[in-house]
Amino acid sequence: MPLTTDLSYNWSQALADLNQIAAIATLTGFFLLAVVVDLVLPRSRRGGAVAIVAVVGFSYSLASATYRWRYAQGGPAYHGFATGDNFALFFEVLFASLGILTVALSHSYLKRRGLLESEFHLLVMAAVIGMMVLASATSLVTVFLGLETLSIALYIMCGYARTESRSQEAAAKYLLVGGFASAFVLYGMALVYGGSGTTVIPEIAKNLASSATGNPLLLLGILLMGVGFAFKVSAAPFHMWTPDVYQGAPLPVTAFMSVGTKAAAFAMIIRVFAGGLPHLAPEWQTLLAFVAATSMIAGNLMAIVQTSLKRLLAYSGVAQAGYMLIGVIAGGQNGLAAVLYYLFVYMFMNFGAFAVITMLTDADGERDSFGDLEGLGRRNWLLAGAMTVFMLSLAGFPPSVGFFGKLFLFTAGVGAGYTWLVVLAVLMSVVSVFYYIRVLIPIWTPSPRLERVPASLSTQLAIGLSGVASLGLGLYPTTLFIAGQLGAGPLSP
Amino acid sequence: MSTLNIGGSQLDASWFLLLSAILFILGTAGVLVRRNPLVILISIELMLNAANLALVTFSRQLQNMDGQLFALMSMTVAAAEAVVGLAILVDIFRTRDAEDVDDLSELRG
Amino acid sequence: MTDQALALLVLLFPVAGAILLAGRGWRLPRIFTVIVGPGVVWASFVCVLALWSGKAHGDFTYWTWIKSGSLEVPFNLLIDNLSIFMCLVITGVGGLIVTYSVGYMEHEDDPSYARFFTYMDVFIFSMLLLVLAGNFIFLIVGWAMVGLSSYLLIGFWYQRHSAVVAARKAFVMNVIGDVGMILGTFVIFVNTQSVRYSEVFAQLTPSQPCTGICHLPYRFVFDTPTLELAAFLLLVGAVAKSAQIPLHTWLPDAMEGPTPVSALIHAATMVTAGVYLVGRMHPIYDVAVYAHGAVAIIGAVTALFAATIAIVQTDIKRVLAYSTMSQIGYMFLAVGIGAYAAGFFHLLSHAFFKALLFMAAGNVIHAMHDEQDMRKYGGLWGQMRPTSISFLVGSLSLVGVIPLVGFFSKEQILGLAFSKPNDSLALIVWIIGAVTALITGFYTGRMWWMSFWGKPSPQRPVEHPHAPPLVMMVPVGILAVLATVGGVIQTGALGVGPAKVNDFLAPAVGPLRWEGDWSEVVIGLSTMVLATGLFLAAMRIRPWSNYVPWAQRLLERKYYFDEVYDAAFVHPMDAVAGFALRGIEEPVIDGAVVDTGLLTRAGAASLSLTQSGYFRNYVLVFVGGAVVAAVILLLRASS
Repeated sequence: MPLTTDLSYNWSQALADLNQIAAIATLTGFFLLAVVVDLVLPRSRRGGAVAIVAVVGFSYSLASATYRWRYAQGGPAYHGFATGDNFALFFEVLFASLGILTVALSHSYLKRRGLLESEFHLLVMAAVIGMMVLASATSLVTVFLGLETLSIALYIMCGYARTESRSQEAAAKYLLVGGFASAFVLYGMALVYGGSGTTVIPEIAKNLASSATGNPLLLLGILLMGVGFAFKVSAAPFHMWTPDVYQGAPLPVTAFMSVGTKAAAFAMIIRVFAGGLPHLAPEWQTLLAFVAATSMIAGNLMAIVQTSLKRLLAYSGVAQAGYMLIGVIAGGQNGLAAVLYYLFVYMFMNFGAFAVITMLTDADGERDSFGDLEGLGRRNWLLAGAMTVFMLSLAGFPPSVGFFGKLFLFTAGVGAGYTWLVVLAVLMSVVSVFYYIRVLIPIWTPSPRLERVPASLSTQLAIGLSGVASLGLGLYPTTLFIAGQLGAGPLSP
Repeated sequence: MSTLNIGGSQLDASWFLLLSAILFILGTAGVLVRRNPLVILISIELMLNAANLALVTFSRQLQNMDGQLFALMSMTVAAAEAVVGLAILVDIFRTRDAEDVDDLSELRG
Repeated sequence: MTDQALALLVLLFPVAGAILLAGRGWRLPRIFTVIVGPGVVWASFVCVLALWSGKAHGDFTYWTWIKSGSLEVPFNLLIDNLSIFMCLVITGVGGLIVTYSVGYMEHEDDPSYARFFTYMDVFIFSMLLLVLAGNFIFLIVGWAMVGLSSYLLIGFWYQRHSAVVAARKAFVMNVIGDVGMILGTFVIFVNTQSVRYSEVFAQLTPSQPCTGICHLPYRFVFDTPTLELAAFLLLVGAVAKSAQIPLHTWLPDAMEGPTPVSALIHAATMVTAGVYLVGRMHPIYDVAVYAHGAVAIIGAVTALFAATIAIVQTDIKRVLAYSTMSQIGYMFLAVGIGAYAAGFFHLLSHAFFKALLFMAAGNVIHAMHDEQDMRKYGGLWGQMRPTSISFLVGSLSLVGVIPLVGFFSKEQILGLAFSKPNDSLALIVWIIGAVTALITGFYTGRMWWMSFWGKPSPQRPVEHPHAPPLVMMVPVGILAVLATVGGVIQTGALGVGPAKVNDFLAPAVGPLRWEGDWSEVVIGLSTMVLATGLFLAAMRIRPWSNYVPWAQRLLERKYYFDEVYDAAFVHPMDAVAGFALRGIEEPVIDGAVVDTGLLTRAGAASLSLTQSGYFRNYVLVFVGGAVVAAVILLLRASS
């Protein structure tokens, strides 16, 4: 029996497919343009030019995703390998915004540290393309492709300060553990393929509608994929790379990956588990509940004893992944919408916090101890005020966005019957208040240090925007939550 | 249809899957016990290839091209990952002697 | 101006003050801070007066914050007689105290001076938000912000290690309370699908008109156990904020803060938030009889317990701190037996006399160069006459001497407990309350005689204390007058004269459900006379405890609460960390490459040991985690 597949394809179909992934296509186009620009311009002009191309590319991508969100009908493309549905568009908007913020933040940082600039922006673009592919992938094949595109770009970015031993170590550790996790994911995908007979996610769900339970191939596949996914969202006990890599990587990279990888990985988890394996929900929910509980406990407890702000935020990220997993486990439109909402606002608060620390960098290198924050209230009130907002938001104080994120997540969790998990989450959020507030103490305690902390215009804009968003979206949380509900639509029954 | 017709002789598909599982476990063990970062990288490649074998087996068994396509893609990806991995390791070897991954333990706590 | 706008203005003034002071205060001349700091509080006070005189009431919604599914959180302020009453206390007494601080904090440098008034204004705002909030969410916001500003103010002298530790302790205890509040709110929301007071309480409205004593006068949507749960969870919040047993240990330590802070937060306003909460939630507590009983029991036990500890304290502010706990115990007792108005009247009178005592003590401490040990005072009567007289007025009011305000409020509570019909619990708490009243007389007397009477102590740091400046003396004088004559507004419990507080609060917390009779009056009077006698006797029998050394020790160690908490929670954590450091970390380390600073830090927490920095450990944990996950999945599949 010959192996056949439908290979018919025509121009109108090609255009329609391209339209569905307009955001990715646009960004890829600009990526190629940036490569050319990097080639033809003299070394001294490259950095700025590529930065501009990157920002324009991200903006176009953002605009096309927003446009399609409002006016276009999303649907499957490329024989079901990708899609342009609201879920994908929501994340494309997120990633494009993150790209703009990252370029704005890294421009002055790279100059200050004397690192090559144009290549960095190219890598950011490549990673964002990977993330977007991940968000719009509806086949295990494309999911894996997106995952690796994103990861490989990040491996390089982590080691971007090439001569610095910490950066090297971060890159090596991330590469080795990341490759290991990728192998788990790939093997898990192979097993799910074997158990369901297809790699296209909606068809997996269709094929398994009647015969899902008890198939050991699928069970093992869920386990292996779940472990790999948990690694990517840096959930405990697969989180151990997180603090080391976050600490070693250059700050803009940390800021970028702490938000981007997490969001992309959550998109992947939701797409694969909620979209492809709804009939095996009890199994993966159990797995994720275990991971969520460990993450909240380990992340919050470990964060207490940290003395490096980067590590502290890394552990806080582990804990936050735990909270967000509650929404995934709860599922349904409200649960997933809560996750989407949280991921979007997490971008502002977490990226913002790292951005503030980035600004402390001086000629000697990065500054990320508590002592370096001393007297920040007098040294740069914008940074100090913004950092206060970010920390309070991460801790979940009303009326910040973080409060609503948690509120939505926990409400969904209780609604789905995971009360024990929510109680644990509430208790652990209380613990987290301790270390988030601890960051604020040196900022507002009067100190003899009065030298100003300089910040370039682009960075100030990035931080100010994040701060305003962290408060503003808290005062009007409903709009974004409704967007989250629309985004979650394609994946909730 | 659980048997594959290869070279005229009948082999049960589960043999291929078993081989793939053994390769995967060997790779995992390699990552766990070996100290040289290069060898760890090779072990990871072994794990990826175990997955590829499983994919191709399933593809034959299911009479469906998806698996082969997936395997091709993953080979490409693995090659890219190996390139980047080697580059990063070479970069480290340039500045210091790191034959043991345990030397990379400045970041901790 | 409409009531709606006025109510918002009450909140906006302190916010504006805090922002002005935080932004520019430390750069402008000091006079700016002096005017803005107290000024905004007085401006709020004027607005509250306007609301009061306009007989304002209503539930004003300004803006709908969240609307998603069944969850709708409006920003609404509830103006009724209860919230106006609380606002009057907060802005009135608060205004006096903030004005007093102008003199008390004058030795601080400009930035600290502005910082102090910023925190004070933030606190006043938070407290006002707490009492004005018309729904549970903003109640929690105010509740948490009050805790935060209290934390900032206790740790105001952050250079002092003890202040920082005390601030942290207070914060942790308060957060425990916040968690209770949040969980309680959650239970209520899940059951009523609303967070607005009026909507929640509407689901608890009386099914039949209630006359006489009603134990279960309400029809309720949720079953009683759920309601009890909610009531108990809210009570955790109230207990933590009001420093009642067993979450009381933070209050005495909080005396590390500047004295005006103690007067404002730890006597007049914040610690009474628990009483306000029970009063505000009275429709819930009227139905949740067990939780309601627990309020009374906790109050009575705390009253007695704190009063006994106060007998042996030697730090003047700590005596006042324990006395505060004890008096709030009375308020809990009152609201716990359903005598809400009596509890709030005691809240008012306590705000007068305790703020007076703290500020008069502040005058003394100020004059004694921050010495707080009463044994080192003595003989101040001759040298600081106005302060001594004020302190005496406050003390006698605390003891309950006729006709000071404290007499009327305390007598009413005890009388109502004694006369509540068909309620043995009320009788028990009455006995405890009466005993406490006697002890109160004794420790107050001890404090006053020891500090102001007799000869100057040889260890006294200042030979000739300076008189307090006018800006400090005037608020003290005003409070002394209030503490003297304040009782005339409510003499009804004795059977004559008005009961203005009861009448005023009746629309908000319901009318008094039973009346005392003459026997109650006689018993109340005799208790107070006895207490007064003990006050006088304390002059002579000061070294009482030489005869019972074990009691002395027990009281000095404050019934070993701190020790028990340390042993139960703090030491085990230390032990784990210590074991990790000595037993695991040190033998394992190969001393070669390691930065010692990094290591000590790593040793400080046992958990962070897992994060060894070694790749192979990470992979091992990774695989281990996968195995655990597999086991969990298998267990699930096989069950």
